[in-house]
Amino acid sequence: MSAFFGMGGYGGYIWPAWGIATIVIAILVFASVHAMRARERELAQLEAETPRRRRARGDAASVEGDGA
Amino acid sequence: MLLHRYANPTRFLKLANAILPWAAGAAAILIGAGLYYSFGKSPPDYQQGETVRIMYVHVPSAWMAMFSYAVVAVASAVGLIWKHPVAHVVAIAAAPVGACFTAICLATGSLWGKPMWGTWWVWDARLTSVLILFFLYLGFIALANAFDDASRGERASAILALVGAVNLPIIKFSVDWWNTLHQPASVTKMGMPSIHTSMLIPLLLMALGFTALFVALVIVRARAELAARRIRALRSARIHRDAAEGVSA
Repeated sequence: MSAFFGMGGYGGYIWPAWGIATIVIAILVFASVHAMRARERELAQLEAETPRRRRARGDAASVEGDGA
Repeated sequence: MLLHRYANPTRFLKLANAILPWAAGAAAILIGAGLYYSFGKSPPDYQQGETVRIMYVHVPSAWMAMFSYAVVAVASAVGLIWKHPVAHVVAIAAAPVGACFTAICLATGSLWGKPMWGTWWVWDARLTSVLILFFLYLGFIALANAFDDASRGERASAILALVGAVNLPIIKFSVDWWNTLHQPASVTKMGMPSIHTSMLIPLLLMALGFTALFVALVIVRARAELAARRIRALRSARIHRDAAEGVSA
Protein backbone atom coordinates (compact mmCIF):
# COMPACT_ATOMS: atom_id res chain seq x y z
CA MET A 1 0.00 0.00 0.00
CA SER A 2 2.70 2.50 0.98
CA ALA A 3 4.68 1.33 -2.05
CA PHE A 4 1.68 2.30 -4.20
CA PHE A 5 1.48 5.78 -2.71
CA GLY A 6 5.26 6.19 -2.69
CA MET A 7 5.39 5.50 -6.44
CA GLY A 8 9.06 4.57 -6.41
CA GLY A 9 10.01 7.85 -4.77
CA TYR A 10 8.03 9.94 -7.27
CA GLY A 11 4.77 10.04 -5.33
CA GLY A 12 5.42 13.71 -4.52
CA TYR A 13 5.12 14.53 -8.22
CA ILE A 14 2.62 11.96 -9.46
CA TRP A 15 -0.13 12.54 -6.91
CA PRO A 16 -0.09 16.35 -7.13
CA ALA A 17 -0.25 16.04 -10.93
CA TRP A 18 -3.34 13.86 -10.79
CA GLY A 19 -4.72 15.88 -7.89
CA ILE A 20 -4.52 19.15 -9.82
CA ALA A 21 -6.15 17.52 -12.86
CA THR A 22 -8.95 16.11 -10.69
CA ILE A 23 -9.60 19.42 -8.94
CA VAL A 24 -9.60 21.48 -12.15
CA ILE A 25 -11.99 19.07 -13.89
CA ALA A 26 -14.24 18.78 -10.83
CA ILE A 27 -14.54 22.58 -10.54
CA LEU A 28 -15.19 22.90 -14.28
CA VAL A 29 -17.92 20.24 -14.23
CA PHE A 30 -19.55 21.65 -11.11
CA ALA A 31 -19.46 25.26 -12.31
CA SER A 32 -20.77 24.34 -15.77
CA VAL A 33 -23.71 22.28 -14.49
CA HIS A 34 -24.51 24.84 -11.81
CA ALA A 35 -24.54 27.72 -14.33
CA MET A 36 -26.73 25.75 -16.72
CA ARG A 37 -29.29 24.93 -14.04
CA ALA A 38 -29.35 28.48 -12.67
CA ARG A 39 -29.79 30.09 -16.10
CA GLU A 40 -32.42 27.62 -17.29
CA ARG A 41 -34.38 28.09 -14.08
CA GLU A 42 -34.22 31.87 -14.50
CA LEU A 43 -35.30 31.59 -18.12
CA ALA A 44 -38.23 29.33 -17.27
CA GLN A 45 -39.35 31.82 -14.65
CA LEU A 46 -39.07 34.70 -17.09
CA GLU A 47 -40.94 32.82 -19.81
CA ALA A 48 -43.69 31.92 -17.39
CA GLU A 49 -44.19 35.59 -16.59
CA THR A 50 -44.06 36.91 -20.13
CA PRO A 51 -47.33 35.59 -21.60
CA ARG A 52 -49.29 36.90 -18.65
CA ARG A 53 -47.81 40.30 -19.21
CA ARG A 54 -48.53 40.12 -22.90
CA ARG A 55 -52.17 39.36 -22.27
CA ALA A 56 -52.27 42.22 -19.83
CA ARG A 57 -50.67 44.60 -22.27
CA GLY A 58 -52.32 47.98 -22.34
CA ASP A 59 -53.84 47.40 -18.92
CA ALA A 60 -51.78 49.84 -16.89
CA ALA A 61 -53.14 48.58 -13.56
CA SER A 62 -51.66 45.11 -14.06
CA VAL A 63 -48.03 46.20 -14.41
CA GLU A 64 -46.19 43.95 -12.00
CA GLY A 65 -42.97 44.58 -10.16
CA ASP A 66 -39.78 43.71 -11.98
CA GLY A 67 -40.02 39.91 -11.53
CA ALA A 68 -36.79 37.94 -11.26
CA MET B 1 -32.80 40.75 -37.57
CA LEU B 2 -33.31 40.48 -33.84
CA LEU B 3 -35.38 37.41 -34.51
CA HIS B 4 -32.55 35.82 -36.45
CA ARG B 5 -29.96 36.53 -33.81
CA TYR B 6 -31.97 35.25 -30.91
CA ALA B 7 -33.76 32.56 -32.87
CA ASN B 8 -34.45 29.69 -30.54
CA PRO B 9 -31.96 27.09 -31.73
CA THR B 10 -34.35 24.24 -31.10
CA ARG B 11 -32.72 21.82 -33.49
CA PHE B 12 -29.30 22.25 -31.89
CA LEU B 13 -30.73 21.76 -28.40
CA LYS B 14 -32.64 18.66 -29.46
CA LEU B 15 -29.51 17.04 -30.86
CA ALA B 16 -27.34 18.22 -27.95
CA ASN B 17 -29.74 16.86 -25.35
CA ALA B 18 -29.84 13.50 -27.12
CA ILE B 19 -26.03 13.32 -27.06
CA LEU B 20 -25.49 14.64 -23.51
CA PRO B 21 -26.26 11.51 -21.43
CA TRP B 22 -24.21 9.31 -23.78
CA ALA B 23 -21.24 11.67 -23.71
CA ALA B 24 -21.36 12.00 -19.93
CA GLY B 25 -21.71 8.22 -19.47
CA ALA B 26 -18.90 7.48 -21.91
CA ALA B 27 -16.67 10.01 -20.14
CA ALA B 28 -17.25 8.37 -16.75
CA ILE B 29 -16.62 4.84 -18.03
CA LEU B 30 -13.60 5.68 -20.20
CA ILE B 31 -11.91 7.84 -17.57
CA GLY B 32 -12.63 5.18 -14.94
CA ALA B 33 -11.06 2.50 -17.11
CA GLY B 34 -8.22 4.87 -17.97
CA LEU B 35 -7.48 5.40 -14.26
CA TYR B 36 -7.49 1.64 -13.69
CA TYR B 37 -4.99 1.12 -16.48
CA SER B 38 -2.92 4.18 -15.53
CA PHE B 39 -2.38 3.04 -11.95
CA GLY B 40 -3.14 -0.67 -11.93
CA LYS B 41 -2.20 -2.24 -15.20
CA SER B 42 0.60 -0.27 -16.79
CA PRO B 43 4.21 -0.95 -15.73
CA PRO B 44 6.76 1.68 -14.73
CA ASP B 45 8.79 2.97 -17.66
CA TYR B 46 12.39 1.76 -17.96
CA GLN B 47 13.67 5.34 -18.09
CA GLN B 48 10.98 7.47 -16.46
CA GLY B 49 10.12 4.96 -13.73
CA GLU B 50 6.74 5.60 -12.14
CA THR B 51 6.59 9.19 -13.41
CA VAL B 52 5.29 7.75 -16.68
CA ARG B 53 1.92 7.75 -14.90
CA ILE B 54 1.90 11.55 -15.15
CA MET B 55 1.95 11.07 -18.93
CA TYR B 56 -1.48 9.44 -18.85
CA VAL B 57 -3.03 12.73 -17.81
CA HIS B 58 -0.46 15.08 -19.35
CA VAL B 59 -0.53 13.82 -22.94
CA PRO B 60 -4.34 13.47 -23.28
CA SER B 61 -4.86 16.94 -21.78
CA ALA B 62 -2.29 18.33 -24.23
CA TRP B 63 -4.19 16.74 -27.11
CA MET B 64 -7.44 18.12 -25.74
CA ALA B 65 -5.90 21.58 -25.32
CA MET B 66 -5.20 21.64 -29.05
CA PHE B 67 -8.38 19.87 -30.12
CA SER B 68 -10.50 22.30 -28.08
CA TYR B 69 -8.76 25.23 -29.69
CA ALA B 70 -9.42 23.77 -33.13
CA VAL B 71 -13.11 23.52 -32.19
CA VAL B 72 -13.12 27.14 -30.98
CA ALA B 73 -11.40 28.33 -34.17
CA VAL B 74 -13.62 26.35 -36.56
CA ALA B 75 -16.80 27.37 -34.73
CA SER B 76 -15.61 30.99 -34.77
CA ALA B 77 -15.01 30.80 -38.52
CA VAL B 78 -18.47 29.33 -39.09
CA GLY B 79 -19.95 32.07 -36.92
CA LEU B 80 -18.12 34.84 -38.76
CA ILE B 81 -18.69 33.54 -42.30
CA TRP B 82 -22.22 32.13 -42.16
CA LYS B 83 -23.40 34.20 -39.19
CA HIS B 84 -24.75 31.07 -37.59
CA PRO B 85 -25.74 32.10 -34.06
CA VAL B 86 -25.14 28.66 -32.52
CA ALA B 87 -21.55 28.55 -33.84
CA HIS B 88 -20.47 31.45 -31.62
CA VAL B 89 -22.25 29.82 -28.70
CA VAL B 90 -20.25 26.62 -29.25
CA ALA B 91 -16.98 28.57 -29.45
CA ILE B 92 -17.79 30.45 -26.24
CA ALA B 93 -18.78 27.19 -24.55
CA ALA B 94 -15.63 25.34 -25.63
CA ALA B 95 -13.03 27.98 -24.76
CA PRO B 96 -13.10 27.61 -20.93
CA VAL B 97 -12.98 23.81 -21.28
CA GLY B 98 -9.91 24.10 -23.51
CA ALA B 99 -8.33 26.56 -21.09
CA CYS B 100 -8.76 24.04 -18.27
CA PHE B 101 -7.16 21.24 -20.29
CA THR B 102 -4.28 23.57 -21.15
CA ALA B 103 -3.80 24.46 -17.48
CA ILE B 104 -3.76 20.75 -16.58
CA CYS B 105 -1.28 20.08 -19.37
CA LEU B 106 1.06 22.82 -18.14
CA ALA B 107 0.81 21.87 -14.45
CA THR B 108 1.29 18.14 -14.97
CA GLY B 109 4.11 18.76 -17.45
CA SER B 110 5.85 20.89 -14.88
CA LEU B 111 5.41 18.19 -12.22
CA TRP B 112 6.93 15.68 -14.60
CA GLY B 113 9.73 18.01 -15.71
CA LYS B 114 11.07 18.59 -12.22
CA PRO B 115 12.07 14.98 -11.47
CA MET B 116 12.88 14.04 -15.09
CA TRP B 117 14.49 17.14 -16.59
CA GLY B 118 15.55 18.70 -13.28
CA THR B 119 13.51 21.86 -13.87
CA TRP B 120 9.90 22.96 -13.47
CA TRP B 121 9.99 25.10 -16.58
CA VAL B 122 12.13 26.03 -19.56
CA TRP B 123 11.39 28.68 -22.17
CA ASP B 124 11.69 26.29 -25.07
CA ALA B 125 9.50 26.26 -28.15
CA ARG B 126 7.00 23.59 -27.05
CA LEU B 127 6.43 24.87 -23.53
CA THR B 128 6.28 28.50 -24.59
CA SER B 129 3.85 27.87 -27.44
CA VAL B 130 1.52 25.94 -25.10
CA LEU B 131 1.69 28.80 -22.60
CA ILE B 132 0.72 31.15 -25.45
CA LEU B 133 -2.20 28.81 -26.21
CA PHE B 134 -3.34 29.23 -22.60
CA PHE B 135 -3.19 33.03 -22.93
CA LEU B 136 -5.09 32.85 -26.23
CA TYR B 137 -7.89 31.04 -24.42
CA LEU B 138 -7.90 33.67 -21.66
CA GLY B 139 -7.89 36.45 -24.26
CA PHE B 140 -10.79 34.83 -26.11
CA ILE B 141 -12.85 34.51 -22.93
CA ALA B 142 -12.06 38.07 -21.85
CA LEU B 143 -12.89 39.54 -25.27
CA ALA B 144 -16.15 37.59 -25.57
CA ASN B 145 -17.30 39.17 -22.31
CA ALA B 146 -15.77 42.62 -22.83
CA PHE B 147 -18.67 44.30 -24.67
CA ASP B 148 -22.13 45.30 -23.56
CA ASP B 149 -23.29 44.27 -27.01
CA ALA B 150 -22.79 40.47 -27.02
CA SER B 151 -22.62 40.28 -30.81
CA ARG B 152 -19.61 42.63 -30.87
CA GLY B 153 -17.90 40.52 -28.22
CA GLU B 154 -18.43 37.30 -30.09
CA ARG B 155 -17.11 38.83 -33.33
CA ALA B 156 -14.00 40.24 -31.68
CA SER B 157 -13.23 37.00 -29.86
CA ALA B 158 -13.87 34.95 -33.01
CA ILE B 159 -11.31 37.04 -34.90
CA LEU B 160 -8.80 36.50 -32.10
CA ALA B 161 -9.48 32.75 -32.23
CA LEU B 162 -8.77 32.67 -35.97
CA VAL B 163 -5.58 34.71 -35.71
CA GLY B 164 -4.40 32.55 -32.81
CA ALA B 165 -4.98 29.37 -34.80
CA VAL B 166 -1.50 29.78 -36.35
CA ASN B 167 -0.23 28.71 -32.93
CA LEU B 168 -1.63 25.18 -33.38
CA PRO B 169 0.83 23.97 -36.05
CA ILE B 170 3.59 25.79 -34.16
CA ILE B 171 2.80 23.71 -31.05
CA LYS B 172 2.52 20.50 -33.02
CA PHE B 173 5.77 20.88 -34.97
CA SER B 174 7.76 22.87 -32.40
CA VAL B 175 9.51 19.68 -31.29
CA ASP B 176 10.63 18.98 -34.86
CA TRP B 177 11.41 22.52 -36.00
CA TRP B 178 13.45 23.58 -33.00
CA ASN B 179 15.83 21.98 -30.60
CA THR B 180 13.67 21.63 -27.54
CA LEU B 181 13.92 19.86 -24.23
CA HIS B 182 10.47 18.41 -24.92
CA GLN B 183 10.58 15.02 -26.61
CA PRO B 184 8.95 14.61 -30.03
CA ALA B 185 5.69 12.73 -30.55
CA SER B 186 5.67 9.00 -29.97
CA VAL B 187 2.00 8.23 -30.62
CA THR B 188 0.88 10.58 -33.38
CA LYS B 189 3.77 10.05 -35.76
CA MET B 190 4.02 8.41 -39.13
CA GLY B 191 3.96 4.66 -38.99
CA MET B 192 3.30 2.72 -35.83
CA PRO B 193 3.31 4.40 -32.45
CA SER B 194 6.63 3.73 -30.77
CA ILE B 195 5.25 2.99 -27.34
CA HIS B 196 4.26 -0.31 -25.84
CA THR B 197 0.59 -1.37 -25.83
CA SER B 198 0.54 -1.45 -22.02
CA MET B 199 1.17 2.31 -22.09
CA LEU B 200 -0.82 3.08 -25.21
CA ILE B 201 -4.04 1.66 -23.69
CA PRO B 202 -4.24 4.06 -20.71
CA LEU B 203 -3.23 6.97 -22.96
CA LEU B 204 -5.99 6.26 -25.46
CA LEU B 205 -8.61 5.51 -22.79
CA MET B 206 -7.90 8.82 -21.06
CA ALA B 207 -7.85 10.67 -24.38
CA LEU B 208 -11.22 9.22 -25.42
CA GLY B 209 -12.61 9.87 -21.94
CA PHE B 210 -11.46 13.50 -22.07
CA THR B 211 -13.00 13.87 -25.53
CA ALA B 212 -16.35 12.58 -24.26
CA LEU B 213 -16.05 14.89 -21.25
CA PHE B 214 -15.33 17.79 -23.60
CA VAL B 215 -18.47 17.04 -25.63
CA ALA B 216 -20.62 16.80 -22.50
CA LEU B 217 -19.19 20.02 -21.03
CA VAL B 218 -19.59 21.97 -24.26
CA ILE B 219 -23.25 20.92 -24.43
CA VAL B 220 -23.86 21.93 -20.81
CA ARG B 221 -22.08 25.26 -21.26
CA ALA B 222 -23.82 25.92 -24.60
CA ARG B 223 -27.19 25.38 -22.92
CA ALA B 224 -26.23 27.86 -20.22
CA GLU B 225 -25.10 30.39 -22.84
CA LEU B 226 -28.25 29.96 -24.94
CA ALA B 227 -30.42 30.41 -21.86
CA ALA B 228 -28.46 33.54 -20.92
CA ARG B 229 -29.05 34.97 -24.39
CA ARG B 230 -32.77 34.24 -24.25
CA ILE B 231 -32.91 35.91 -20.84
CA ARG B 232 -31.17 39.00 -22.24
CA ALA B 233 -33.51 39.09 -25.24
CA LEU B 234 -36.63 38.72 -23.09
CA ARG B 235 -35.39 41.34 -20.65
CA SER B 236 -34.73 43.89 -23.37
CA ALA B 237 -38.10 43.11 -24.98
CA ARG B 238 -39.74 43.67 -21.62
CA ILE B 239 -37.95 46.99 -21.12
CA HIS B 240 -39.12 48.18 -24.55
CA ARG B 241 -42.65 47.04 -23.82
CA ASP B 242 -42.66 48.68 -20.39
CA ALA B 243 -41.39 51.89 -21.97
CA ALA B 244 -44.17 51.75 -24.60
CA GLU B 245 -46.74 51.11 -21.88
CA GLY B 246 -45.34 54.01 -19.90
CA VAL B 247 -45.82 56.34 -22.89
CA SER B 248 -49.36 55.18 -23.62
CA ALA B 249 -50.45 55.32 -19.98
